[in-house]
Amino acid sequence: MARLAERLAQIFSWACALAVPGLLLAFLGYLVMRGGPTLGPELLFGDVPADRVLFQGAPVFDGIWPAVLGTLWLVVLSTLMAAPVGVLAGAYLAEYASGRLKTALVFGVDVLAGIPSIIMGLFGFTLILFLRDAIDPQANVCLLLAAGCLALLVLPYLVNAARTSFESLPRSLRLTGESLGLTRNQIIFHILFPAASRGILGGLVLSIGRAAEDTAVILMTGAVAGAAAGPALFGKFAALPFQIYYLAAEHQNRQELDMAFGAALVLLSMTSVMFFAASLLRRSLEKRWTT
Amino acid sequence: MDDVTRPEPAIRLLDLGISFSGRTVFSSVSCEIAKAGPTVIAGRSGCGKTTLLRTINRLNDGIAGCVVTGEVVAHLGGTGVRVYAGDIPVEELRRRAGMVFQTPNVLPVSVEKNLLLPLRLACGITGGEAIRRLETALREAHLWDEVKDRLRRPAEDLSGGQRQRLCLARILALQPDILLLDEPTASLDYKAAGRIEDLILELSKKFAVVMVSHSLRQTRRLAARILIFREEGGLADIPVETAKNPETFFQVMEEML
Amino acid sequence: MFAGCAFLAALAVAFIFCFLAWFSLPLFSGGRLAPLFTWVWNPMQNQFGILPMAVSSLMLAATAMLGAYPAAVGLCFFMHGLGPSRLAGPLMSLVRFMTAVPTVAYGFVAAILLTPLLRQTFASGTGYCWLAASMALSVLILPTITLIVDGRFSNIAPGLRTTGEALGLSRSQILLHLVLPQSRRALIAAAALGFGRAAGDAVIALMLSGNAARVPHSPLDSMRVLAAHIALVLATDSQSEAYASLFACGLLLFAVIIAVNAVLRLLDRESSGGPGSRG
Repeated sequence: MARLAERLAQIFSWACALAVPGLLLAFLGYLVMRGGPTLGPELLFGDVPADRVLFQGAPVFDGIWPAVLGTLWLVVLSTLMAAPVGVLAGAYLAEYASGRLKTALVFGVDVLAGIPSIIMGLFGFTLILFLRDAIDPQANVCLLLAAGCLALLVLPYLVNAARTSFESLPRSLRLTGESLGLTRNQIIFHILFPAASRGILGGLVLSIGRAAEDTAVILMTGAVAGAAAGPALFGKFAALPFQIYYLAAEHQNRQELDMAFGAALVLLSMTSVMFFAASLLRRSLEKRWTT
Repeated sequence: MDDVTRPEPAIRLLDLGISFSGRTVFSSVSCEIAKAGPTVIAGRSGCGKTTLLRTINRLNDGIAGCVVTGEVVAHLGGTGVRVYAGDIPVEELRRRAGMVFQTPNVLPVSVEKNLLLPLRLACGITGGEAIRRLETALREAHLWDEVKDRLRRPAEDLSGGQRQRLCLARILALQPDILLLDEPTASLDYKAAGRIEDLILELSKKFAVVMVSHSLRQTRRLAARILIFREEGGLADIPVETAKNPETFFQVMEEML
Repeated sequence: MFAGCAFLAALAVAFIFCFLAWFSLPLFSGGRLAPLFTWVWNPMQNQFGILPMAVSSLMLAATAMLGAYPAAVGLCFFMHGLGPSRLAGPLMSLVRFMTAVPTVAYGFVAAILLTPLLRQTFASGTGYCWLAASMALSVLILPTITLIVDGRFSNIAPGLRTTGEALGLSRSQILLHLVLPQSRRALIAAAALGFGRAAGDAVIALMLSGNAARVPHSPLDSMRVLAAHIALVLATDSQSEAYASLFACGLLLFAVIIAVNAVLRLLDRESSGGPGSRG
């Protein structure tokens, strides 16, 4: 009986090790097969010439260019909001906080990390309801709100990346700073921060990928299908994940389905590049402190 | 008149003791250390020599649960300074009592920045003055000729001995009064260690040098005064003359420990 | 300034929670709560029961775990002894890469490939069902679970393997009888985090589960989970009663997250000082 369990464990582990990569390769292969041929200027701009879109701001009705722009805006804005707060909070948790306060703050960050993005979206939507009641009846969901909610979503990733980067620095680095008569703040800003920067950057890149791919938040905070132009801060906007989500259910013809495949491939490429950049940064960081 | 025959000691340890979270490392250590040196502290490994050295520049303070009793009086900038009474800020204390560690702890930046960064941050010195101090310190550490063409290269590219001399130069640039050397040659090969030893002898003419050493050979070579850190507590003098003859020296060491 | 930023992060949690609580406060007065905890959702008839969604959420998360959890443990077994060691590194990189795949891409490909397949195979329904969502969700949470379990295995497996081999145990025996029992904390933590992720997901459920507001009776039935319900109601209804139910859904989901984190915290406390299992 015991022998049987061992044999089954062996077979099952091999099955998993074959099935999971197989599934992933099938998924990627299918996406590349269907999305690959659509890549080109038509995917981005439809039948409008690229130069007219880029230089004269011509509207695009059957391309994903507005969605690409929207996603870029979301990523840039949410990173600008989340990065400073996240990095400084991580530094605080690693270098200053202690005892119960630290436990409580770490718990808060962990809970924030666990909050589903749909709740973050609901929060953003509620915020607008509140603003309508309290300040401006015209308040509405918009790009800025979506970016703010995305910033909250990626904030805990940044805090944890910064915290672990600081905590994994060798103690000797701190001791060196102290022995040279530097103050605590000088040590943190001028010695520890540059040394931790690669790890922090890795976390930042990963959180950018996370902000780029999230669908649930923007679903509830102002993403629309069929925006023809680039987004404005206080207007509704198009974004790649939402475009894919929308077209998956609502595509009318083969051409729209192809566009969805193209959009999915573009989005996957964006997050993959982010992922590999982050791995490279992490690897060079590890090499630095282990040799 | 007394001042002429017995100059003000560089460091006085007054009934000094330290414990971490209730565990006592040593207690009731009293001693006077003169400016003329080097003064070498010897003793079994793990008996608290490094900890003793670090109580002088308060480097143990950062460790949780550290309690220091007694007082250290250091002769810094022409006056006696009570270290634990807080006569001067701890940052200034550490700058004036420069420390070199067992393994060269260069910062992961360029050779040049290893000196310029502490100068700027701890002393507020930048520009031409900083460059002058950089060159003077590197010359004092006999490193200038070896690194003058690669000041912008990573300090980690230097050899072990060069890195340790860079660490020495780094504290010399801060113009200290006292040098605290914690087994500065422990991680180096014979030849590199010899160069550091030459340097220590030279520097001891200008600075008060207190040094922890594991090597009996090195102790015999460098020490103007030998202090044994005994397990039952306290520092005891060994006459330097005994060190001249290895046989008697080892014998005395054995008895003292 | 440092402290301020850390508090801002913690404050954000408190703020989000209070905001949702404040907006759901009206629910707790005037007997508005009872109608929500019923089994029928039919806004036209003024029936706003969210229990089907709550139950569906738990069912979907549970079945997704059923797919992902054994597979994750199987992968870890493969990487720590049962498979060739030179394949362990590439396999781990692959699992890590899976975290970078956009959720919406999984959902999209599953909607195009998987649902027609289910429709044809079982010759019933639309293909948008519990089973489809559960399968896609399994793929989504697989890396989360694998990374946690692998973190623990990497810490203890090499040492235990030496010990076990010296005792003449086979690799499966070492993994089953030495490594697995020593990884209890990590296994529970992985289950809690994986479940939390699965219960909170909206996009896969929205795209694949069919979204009919009732409790499914078979894996081929359509279902609607809490997270999807929030998105759907916001998109379609605008009656205040329907809105109010959203906050009840939000609070329920929040409660799941707090519970998951409480489990993790308990595990940490239970054996503090041991190697962390939450890599």
